[in-house]
Amino acid sequence: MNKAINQEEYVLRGENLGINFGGLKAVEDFNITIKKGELVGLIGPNGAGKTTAFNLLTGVYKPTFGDIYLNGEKVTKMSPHLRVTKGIARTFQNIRLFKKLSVLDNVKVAFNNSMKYSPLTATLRLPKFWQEEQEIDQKAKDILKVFNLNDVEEEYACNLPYGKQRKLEIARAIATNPQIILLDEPAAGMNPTETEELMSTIKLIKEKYQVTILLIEHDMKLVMGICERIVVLNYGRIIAFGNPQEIQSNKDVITAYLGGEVE
Amino acid sequence: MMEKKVIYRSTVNPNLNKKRWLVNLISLILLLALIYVVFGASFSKDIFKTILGMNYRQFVSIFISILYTIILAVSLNLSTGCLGEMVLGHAGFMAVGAYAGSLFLKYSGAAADDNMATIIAILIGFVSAGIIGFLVGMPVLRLRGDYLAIITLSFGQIISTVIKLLNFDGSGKLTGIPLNRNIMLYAVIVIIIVLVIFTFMKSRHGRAILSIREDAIAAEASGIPVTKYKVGTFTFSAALAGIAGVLFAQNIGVLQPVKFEFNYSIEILVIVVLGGLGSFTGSIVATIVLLLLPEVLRFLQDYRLIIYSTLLIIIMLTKPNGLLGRYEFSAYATYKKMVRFFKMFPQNIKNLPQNIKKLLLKIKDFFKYFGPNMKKIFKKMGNNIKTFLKRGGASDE
Repeated sequence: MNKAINQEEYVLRGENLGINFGGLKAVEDFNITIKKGELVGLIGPNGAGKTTAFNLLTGVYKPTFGDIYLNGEKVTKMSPHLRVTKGIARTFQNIRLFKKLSVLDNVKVAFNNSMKYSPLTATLRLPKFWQEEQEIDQKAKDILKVFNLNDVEEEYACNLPYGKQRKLEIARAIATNPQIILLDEPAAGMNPTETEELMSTIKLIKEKYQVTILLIEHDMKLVMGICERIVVLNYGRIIAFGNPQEIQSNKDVITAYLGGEVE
Repeated sequence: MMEKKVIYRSTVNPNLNKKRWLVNLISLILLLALIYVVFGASFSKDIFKTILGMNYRQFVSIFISILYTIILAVSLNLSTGCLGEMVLGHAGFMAVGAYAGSLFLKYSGAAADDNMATIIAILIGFVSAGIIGFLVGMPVLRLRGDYLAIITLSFGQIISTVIKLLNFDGSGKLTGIPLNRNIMLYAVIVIIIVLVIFTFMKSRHGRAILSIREDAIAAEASGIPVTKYKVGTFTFSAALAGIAGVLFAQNIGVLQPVKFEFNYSIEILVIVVLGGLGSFTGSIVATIVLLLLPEVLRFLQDYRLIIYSTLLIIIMLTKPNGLLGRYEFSAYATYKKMVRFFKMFPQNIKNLPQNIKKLLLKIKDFFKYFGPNMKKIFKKMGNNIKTFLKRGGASDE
């Protein structure tokens, strides 16, 4: 009974997560619970372990301690691509697109899981192949339209300007049909206008696709502007969490970012 | 403003023109008919002797070697060009298929020119090379990095040594394999293999494989089972090399382990790189060019290999991405081009005098650009230098 209630409450939960690289404790006692429909920010100084935490949640690294739950299901030992089918998607700090594939193909790759036809069906070009490809073609084009990328769908991804590449990465993540999407520094390297646009894009996907969002960001204007809850990480440990106002006035956070008084 | 031409770059276009099928089918039938007329028909022997003055049997042998090398190159392109894993022991898998198929042929007592036995031998070669490929690929492809290159390199050497030690015939060679030089059968097999690989790569599976080449981590994060696809593709590629091995054995009749050593693997890799990594038609063109070159250059005698290597260097310098890059030859596109050419033909003739009017010096849109994208932006602005300079080259994106 208790478990069923929990399932509805949160989408993603990390319990006492920790990982050691040799003697370095990169992340320690990382507890995070993200409710459905939330927009949570993860901030912290450089090297605090934010991306490592992301890699733990998405399965790139296997945690040394702790467990990860996705919709009440334990996914600690699942490989990344299986976790994607369970409803977690991510983008990368340094953009990772399929550079020499067309923009349309970049999105279509993410639909691979929702397609069923076998290699034999593909080589014989049976009706099922055409039917599924047509469906996916339409879906991929719809997503590109939402992100205003439909006019460049036949470009190579590497020929897109920076802002559009970021958008395409988010579009690709959305195409896996996720429940929660993890954005790793989406505004890195963007100018103020592009950041504004990104903020509206994030709000748009949150409403349109009903996804929960966890994002790492250094741009405080963006974080304080759109996040409902913020988690602050320093030296691999959570030092504070709460709404933006609480975080702005938190003493530990100010110390972590600006340094404390000399005793 | 110039009309913006959209080049289709995606792997699958589900809204294909129905005409395409017809054109492809007709060109396929024409190709087979051409091969039949040149090599297969009973009168072709006379053609070779009377018209070309060439030895028919020698030419058939070269043609068969082209056919099985096409299989080798195309299958290596699948794992090296499309999957992005360097394979340095492709000849090793070919050896596995060749020996498995030949041992079957020899000890089942198949007669020469027995097509049914050849097909069974091909299946045996396919399966045995596939099993070995799976065993080699399974542990290695789980790792990230270029381990496969080293493992396959040593695998190729191990296979030829193991065959030497097994010593099937007691003389180091496997002799007495029944010959079968049925060109039409081999041509059909090669066409089927190329078609299967082509259609396979132009599907969701092909897209997944290409995405792994571009970025394995991002592919994994997009829900692609990377290890499964890597092992599957590598196994398939190795199994196809096994088929090539059987054709090789039936063409020559004698197998020597020396043939399948490192040198031969590199020779196939050269063909693939020269044709363009990721372009199957490129591999086919490069196979034909590289196998015919030594024959054509035969009149140079001892200088042949120097010229051959120099030509290779020149091709690589002028075309660093290979002969065709990632471009694929398409019968339908060629057909459309031809139709357009003939439609425009009368108009072109009419404009000809104007086109070659005498001019002392005319500069039209003279332009020097740095970087690959500038040309595209320039074209997008209607090839007009004034608007381009006004915008300072900034694109409207």
